[in-house]
Amino acid sequence: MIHVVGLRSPIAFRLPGPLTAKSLTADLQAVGIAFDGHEFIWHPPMKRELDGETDDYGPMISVLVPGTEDSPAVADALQRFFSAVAFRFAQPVEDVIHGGVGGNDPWNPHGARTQRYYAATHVIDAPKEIAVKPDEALWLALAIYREGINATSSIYRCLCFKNVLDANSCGQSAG
Amino acid sequence: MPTAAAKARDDFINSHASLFAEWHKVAPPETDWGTYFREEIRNAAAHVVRPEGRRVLNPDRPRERVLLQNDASVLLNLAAEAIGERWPTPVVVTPRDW
Repeated sequence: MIHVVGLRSPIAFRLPGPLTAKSLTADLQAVGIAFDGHEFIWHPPMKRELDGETDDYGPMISVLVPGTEDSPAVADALQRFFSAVAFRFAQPVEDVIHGGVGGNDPWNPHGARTQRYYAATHVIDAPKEIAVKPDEALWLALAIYREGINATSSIYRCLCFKNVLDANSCGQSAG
Repeated sequence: MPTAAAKARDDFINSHASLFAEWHKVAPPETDWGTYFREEIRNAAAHVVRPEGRRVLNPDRPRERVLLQNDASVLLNLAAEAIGERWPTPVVVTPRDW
């Protein structure tokens, strides 16, 4: 089964290479990024024509789930992957809808899409792999940081970033 | 009275906030930055019923919205700085070959 996630994020990846007129005008591609033993396919935003109207959809992530027993581990890794990407590239990565698609082709661009939220696209050279140090305190800090980056409410952003500072003092109670 | 942990966080904030505030052109608070973010942002955001004289956040006030946006920008930088200080390479990216 393929786990698919419709994202609210301005990020799209491109395969690294020289900046040429051709590469700058080429369609954005889906790229596979290794993280925590999984390969996450980041699909770029897409347009879809229906009844003469064009709908804009945001990016999507898909990942192969080898067996149902692997689902919880993949779901955990997926969230940590989003937090790592949001922190590393300082851009929102919000999982809006999740779904499952049969088969074993994570490169299929259809599955779970949400309306495109960001008018601009933040194009980044696709890394081969992203890794986060295996430290629960760091994972928590990155997770809360992503909540802050994703939020549009200034009050909630302030709370999240202040909580990152608190989470950073591992083992100490907040005052 | 802040706990020892809160004081340590205040010290971190006080040693870094001015730089980020200056970058974002945010005026300093009347208290120090650590106390301000703890009392007038975090606690004010979490509680609407507050002791007399304490800040009550009202998002309907236009000026308050601008101040909160500014504060969020400074706190974002502080949060990233704190993570980077404790974990110098928190997220490692392996580039792809051309």
